[in-house]
Amino acid sequence: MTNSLKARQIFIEEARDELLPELENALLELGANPVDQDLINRTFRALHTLKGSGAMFGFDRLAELAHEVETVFDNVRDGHYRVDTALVELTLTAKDQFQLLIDDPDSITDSTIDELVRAFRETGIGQGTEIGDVPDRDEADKETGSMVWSVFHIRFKPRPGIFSNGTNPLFLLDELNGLGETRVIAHTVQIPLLSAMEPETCYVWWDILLATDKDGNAIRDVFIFVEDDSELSIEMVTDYIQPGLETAVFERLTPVLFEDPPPGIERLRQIFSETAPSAAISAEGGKADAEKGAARPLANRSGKDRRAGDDRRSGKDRRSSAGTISSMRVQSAKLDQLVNLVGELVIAQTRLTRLADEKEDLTLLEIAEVIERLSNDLRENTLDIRMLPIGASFGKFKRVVWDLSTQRGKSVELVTEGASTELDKTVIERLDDPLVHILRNSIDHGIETPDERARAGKPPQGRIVFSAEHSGGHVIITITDDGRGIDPETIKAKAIEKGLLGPDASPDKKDLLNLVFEPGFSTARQVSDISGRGVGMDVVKQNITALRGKVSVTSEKGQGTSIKINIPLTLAIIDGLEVRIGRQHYIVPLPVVSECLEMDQRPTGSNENRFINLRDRLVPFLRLREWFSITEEKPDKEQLVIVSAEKNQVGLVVDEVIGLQQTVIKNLGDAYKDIQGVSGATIQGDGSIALILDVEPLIHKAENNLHNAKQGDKH
Amino acid sequence: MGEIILHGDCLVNRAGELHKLLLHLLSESDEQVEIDMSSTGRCDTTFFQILCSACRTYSQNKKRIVLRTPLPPSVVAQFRKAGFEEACAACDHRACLLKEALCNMDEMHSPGTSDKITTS
Repeated sequence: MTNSLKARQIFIEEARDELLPELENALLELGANPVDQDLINRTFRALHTLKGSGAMFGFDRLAELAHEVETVFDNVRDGHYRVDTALVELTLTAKDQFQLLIDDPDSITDSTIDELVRAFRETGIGQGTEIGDVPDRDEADKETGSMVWSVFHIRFKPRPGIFSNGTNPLFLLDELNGLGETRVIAHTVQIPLLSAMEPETCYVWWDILLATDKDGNAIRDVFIFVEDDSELSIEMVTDYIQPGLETAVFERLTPVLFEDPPPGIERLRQIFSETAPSAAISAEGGKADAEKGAARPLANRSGKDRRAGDDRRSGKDRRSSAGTISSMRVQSAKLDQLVNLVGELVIAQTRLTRLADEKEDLTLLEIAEVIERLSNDLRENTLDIRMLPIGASFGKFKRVVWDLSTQRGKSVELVTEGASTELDKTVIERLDDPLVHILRNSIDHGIETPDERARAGKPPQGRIVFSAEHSGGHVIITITDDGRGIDPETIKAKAIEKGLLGPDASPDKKDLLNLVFEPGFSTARQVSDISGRGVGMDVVKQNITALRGKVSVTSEKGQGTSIKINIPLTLAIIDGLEVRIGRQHYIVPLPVVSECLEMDQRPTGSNENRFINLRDRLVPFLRLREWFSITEEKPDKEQLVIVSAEKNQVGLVVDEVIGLQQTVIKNLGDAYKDIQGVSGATIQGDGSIALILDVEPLIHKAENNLHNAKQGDKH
Repeated sequence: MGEIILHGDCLVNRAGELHKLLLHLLSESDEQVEIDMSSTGRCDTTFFQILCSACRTYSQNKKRIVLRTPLPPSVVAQFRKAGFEEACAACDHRACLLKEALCNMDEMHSPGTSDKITTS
């Protein structure tokens, strides 16, 4: 890949991962707080960067559309227009088109973009959003003589290889010119003679004087893609000149910029203040302050000036913290490859450890231990790199809620909790669809219309709480709505109608509710385009099961529904406890293991195959030998692995507990998907296969055995 | 006299080609090389750098390089946008071809000057 293609790819990734989500989030928040200036600024900045960078990397249509949207938000920022739902909707549509222009440009016709451009131009001339009674601020400023510009000095020294990645500094200078009035000075002294010249190397650096009403952050945004490998300083010479007088200021400052050594900001401020009385400052206050050789004190500035000052400070902070690279972007395919390699390393390390044990060679054992420790650390670090906060998906969920609630004429608030909860990248990606479907269901079937809610004595706005939290080696995600809930009787009637239940069946409420995850099951009276086709919740369950997760539902009629999802932190490598039954080896995931015991006590109960007394507590157990139909002779002394999940504790009887081992999870094919109690497989050090246990069905079975035994004892 | 006619865009992708050409003419041509930019499209910083370097190199070798005027307005605009106008104005190199070309342009647009091409 050439450097220019790489740079384009970096822009694509940045737009996908940062700019477009930022734009969407800011817009959605703006929908709820339309006068929030910070949100308006965030929206504007995202659009501005999209436009500038898009143009730089050849996304001309994207840049064109972004320019129109940016113009409208520039007017919003200046107080000419007001944000309303229609503008948010329109801008969200534009955001979707930006996404398509980046992901799949061929799928968009020119007419789609043209229509949007027209729509924004119409917004720009005031289709319902213009604030009629607010005078044009520029005009008002001119009339009162109160409009002021700042003059910035920008020193831009690009790295010598800047041309090789497709960057054209002239585009940056062009963009700066769009922020106000500029005077650009190229420094050419480092250009060598032809014989010593590398024609594709940059020997020039620039001083730029910019008179603008924009703040330092807006200027810095121009350099966003070159800032990291260029020398860049943006300093304010003065925050007070009258527009139209900047040329005189430029004329005075330009010769100074050729001084050797190059002047610093203090020198420029000094020259400015010395010449200010005759050149630039028209207002009395500005003149007095300029004579002091400094920008005016913040306390005397207008609100806008204060904001600009704050922005400048934050820009400075950002500069100081950007001295070192604290993070970098890596292609996710490379991370997947890294995990695969670590998985192979873990398998090889297990073989080495086993070989060292067999040979009883102390030197080899020592090396094997070191390798094991290193591979453990490497595994933990690698898996940690892949962890992402689930909050990264919240923007998408907010958009779903916004779109569907608007479409359905409902008012819904989405509350998110636990945004920093981390999950494996792949898990998060695969969770997106099921979670979106659950949210769609909540809005379509759960949350009532405002009228219905009023009749039910509820506030008109529905509420969906999306929360995520860590629990051991799992993350628990809960989506709770305060809608109409699920009526168990309706479920039962539907289940009988579909033949899922016999007419005389009397399942408990929990089992009834969980029927919503059965294929083809939907209680929606009317099929909508959002949900209710009966192909949703079973697919949700399938997807979550494929992630080795669990999903369950609780609901109270009239009060709301809660869907709980329990997902393992990672799909790749886990700590496991290796056990043996006959000649077969199995892995029990370590997070569920409580303790290991020798089965030296006689089981209690009328049927000896039921439970043991564990520190005065009856714990049911299950013989894995029977579960897996292993016929080989059992040893004299069996061993018991106590596992627990969701407050339930059961014992799994095995022939031998072998020990801890890192387990690289390999998926079983579809042919094995219906085997209960097994979630995957792993390759052992000797090349053999061991099955990884899915303990939940085992616990369920043992609990049922205990329950039935108790019922039997009663009779 | 050597002559270079630059058709189309003079961007980074052609910088190597122009660099080689100017080096070649430095050794092969007599006293002067003239560059015709009447059909030149876009230019970027690499182009202005090469011209600047060529100007100094030729001068050192007792040769001369000139731009045929008038320059297309788009080239002048890009030259100014890139900040070379200020740089050339402040440059103490006596035979600056860019400064000279711009001077000629200004003279041509001043009342009372002729449209005659200055090749000196």
